[in-house]
Amino acid sequence: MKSKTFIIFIFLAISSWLSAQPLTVTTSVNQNQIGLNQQLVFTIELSGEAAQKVAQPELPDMQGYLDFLGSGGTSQNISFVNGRMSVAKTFTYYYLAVKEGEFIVPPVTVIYDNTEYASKPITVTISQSAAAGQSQSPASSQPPSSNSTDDLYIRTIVNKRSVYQNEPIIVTYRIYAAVSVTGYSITKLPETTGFWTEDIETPQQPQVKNEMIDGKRYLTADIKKIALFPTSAGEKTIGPMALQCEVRVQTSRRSRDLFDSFFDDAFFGGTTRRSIASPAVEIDVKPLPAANKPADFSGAVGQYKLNATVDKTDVNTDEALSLKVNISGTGNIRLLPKPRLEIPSDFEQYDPKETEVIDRQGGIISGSKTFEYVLVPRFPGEQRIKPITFSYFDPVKKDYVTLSAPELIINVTKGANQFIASGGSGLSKEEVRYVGQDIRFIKLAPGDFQPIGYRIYTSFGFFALLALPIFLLAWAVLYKNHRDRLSENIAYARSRRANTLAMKRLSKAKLLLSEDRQKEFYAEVADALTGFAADKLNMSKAGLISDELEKEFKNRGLDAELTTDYFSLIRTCDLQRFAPSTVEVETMQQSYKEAKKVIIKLEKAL
Amino acid sequence: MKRKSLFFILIFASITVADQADYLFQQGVDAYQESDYQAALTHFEAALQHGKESDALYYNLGNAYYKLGEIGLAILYYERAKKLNPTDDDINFNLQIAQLRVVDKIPSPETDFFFKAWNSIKNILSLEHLAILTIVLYVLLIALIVLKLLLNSMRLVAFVRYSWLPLLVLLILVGSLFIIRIRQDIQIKHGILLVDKVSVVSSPAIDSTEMFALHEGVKIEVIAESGEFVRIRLTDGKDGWVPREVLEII
Repeated sequence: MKSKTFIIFIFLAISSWLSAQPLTVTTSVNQNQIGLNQQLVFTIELSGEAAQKVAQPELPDMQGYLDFLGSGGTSQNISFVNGRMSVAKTFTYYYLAVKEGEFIVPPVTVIYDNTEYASKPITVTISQSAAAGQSQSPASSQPPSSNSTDDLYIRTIVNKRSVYQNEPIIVTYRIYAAVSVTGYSITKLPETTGFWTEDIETPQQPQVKNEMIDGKRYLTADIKKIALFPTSAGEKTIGPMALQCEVRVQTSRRSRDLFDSFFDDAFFGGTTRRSIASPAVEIDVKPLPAANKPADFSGAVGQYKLNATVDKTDVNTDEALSLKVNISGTGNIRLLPKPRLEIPSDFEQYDPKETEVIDRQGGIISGSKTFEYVLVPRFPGEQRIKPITFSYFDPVKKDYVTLSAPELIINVTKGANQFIASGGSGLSKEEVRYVGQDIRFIKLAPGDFQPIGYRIYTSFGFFALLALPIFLLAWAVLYKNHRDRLSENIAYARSRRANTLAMKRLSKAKLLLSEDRQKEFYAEVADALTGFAADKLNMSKAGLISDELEKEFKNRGLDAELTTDYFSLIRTCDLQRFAPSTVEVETMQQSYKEAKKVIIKLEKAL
Repeated sequence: MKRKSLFFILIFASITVADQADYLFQQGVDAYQESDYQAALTHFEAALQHGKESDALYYNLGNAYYKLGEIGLAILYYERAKKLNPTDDDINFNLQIAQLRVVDKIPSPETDFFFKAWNSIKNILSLEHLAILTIVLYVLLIALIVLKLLLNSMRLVAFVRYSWLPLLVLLILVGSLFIIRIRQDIQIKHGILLVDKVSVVSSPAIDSTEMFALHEGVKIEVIAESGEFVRIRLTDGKDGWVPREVLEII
């Protein structure tokens, strides 16, 4: 039991120690002994948790023994074991052995978290003669053959490694063969992501040259040539190109295999297939400088000439005119942008016809592109087409160049068929209906005259019609309200009617006054007074007793003076009504006035 | 008494103005019928001098200018006539004919079916007719409510109950259209270019750069003014400045 725990403890200790090592750097070469001018594959492997976090390690100094050919890329392997992530990152580089001798590839160091991690040094021996146990080019999928690789390889030759965006790189793939190659086929074209590719013509039968390299005679041939135009700035990689070559074998093997023996003992003697690959090449693409960039610049890089012509300078409005803008030179002709062109609006303009001539010979891409515009003048007069400009970046001068073609002057005369010409094109179906028709005749009646600038919505009548119904509506609402109260409430109705009735009686009394009918006059005035009070208070007129009335007046808070006035007036009336003597007209008049005054006061008070 | 006589003088004066305009109009018609377009033009212009306008007068002026080859002025007057009477067949026909002679073919913005339909609904009535319709609907609605308030007939109450809502909806629709049209009438100013050719420049200054050229008769929207220049916009969205005197507001 105890020993078991102890073992577990040790196991845990070891694993924690392992996990404490976040980074391991290992370097390796594909072979420790190689021949001169052979290719060496150098691999750096970073493993551990921190492998993902560190930058690409710096390459060791190869002390002149090895020449850097290119990078083979990076591969990354992430795996999860028992919930722990392990990362392995591998960088592959290709070198060419250029100096004889034995040397030590110094350790590669990577700094992470202030700790230095180093690989072990490797000893490499480079000898004149081919060493044993060599392998083929790393990109090859063939198993290693016993033949040496330094007698057959392919090189990627670029004219420059640092270019501007859109500046062409000429890439030549040259095969070096110290053995007899009877044929080849390209099995994989170079990968050129981020480039616009133009093939450069190479002779059908590659030209074979003799070359002595370190005392060894090679036959060389350029088998492929391409121009690459980087489309954006940054680090770019031209991928490897793979070839399969038919190589004649001097010592043919005996084989029991029927097919093998057939090929081996063929007419030409034995051949064997070998795969080789070119190293990948890194290109540094610089962005175009921002300084002095012309406003009309739209990406052309190279050396160009600009030419603009019109087919005639005197036209009439019935004719069409052809304007040709030609840009010629070296660069990416196919992607040349349209030059800046300001066609006056007096011309009807159509999309230009673009033609390009590309010359792929002589190791560069050159040619010309022509934009042909068809212009139809629509308006007579002298028309000026402003100078056409075209801007490009010249990578040799490292500056922008703006070309300008002279201003074009065109004399447009009125054509015989001007009307149709002006409207012949660009007419809608609807408009075509009207072509050639005359206008309709005038109107014989003057119509309705109105003041100039008259607007109905600012007129008085409009606002009156807008406002009037509102008043009508308001009146109707009030009237309806009133009528509803009348029908619902007798007291309200009598009270509203009281004044009208009293005034009616008083006017009748006035009539009697003028006829000097004293008794009837006073009867009428008394009637008006009592009737008014009865109506106002909703009481019965017939049984109205003055005591009751007085009490009601008090209840309603009527002031005492008015009450006494009222009752004294009624008493006067009663007195005069039955008095045998006649009174003066003035007295009657006085009574009438007083009665009216009292009623008005009562109307207000009640 | 004095006030009354003044009133009569005013009425009389306005009658004579209308009479004179009528007379000049007839003179113009006679001259036009005799193909004397210059004389017709003079008479129609004189009729306009009396401060009165009508769709027929503008239409006839447009015709006279067209016959004299003044396309810009012809279009200007046809447009003015159309403003007073947007549905008149003759006015629209002659305007189309005159517009054929305009050099600039400015593409209208992409119009879908709904936009076109809305435009034709919007302009189906003249502003005046729209005003009358709005007022009639409005008065009708109020009258209905007033009648309902005042009369106690059961049949009328039932009638009002079913008719006031449709009437109100109709009034809101027509009224909104009317308000939209008033806004348009007040805010949007269109002009017709009257010179042979003008350079549209990028800013309201004489030495500013030319952007494009326009020719006589083209209809443009005036969106701003600054000194001697006005800012214009075309139906395809291009805009720029032109001298004020090259165009006339419709």
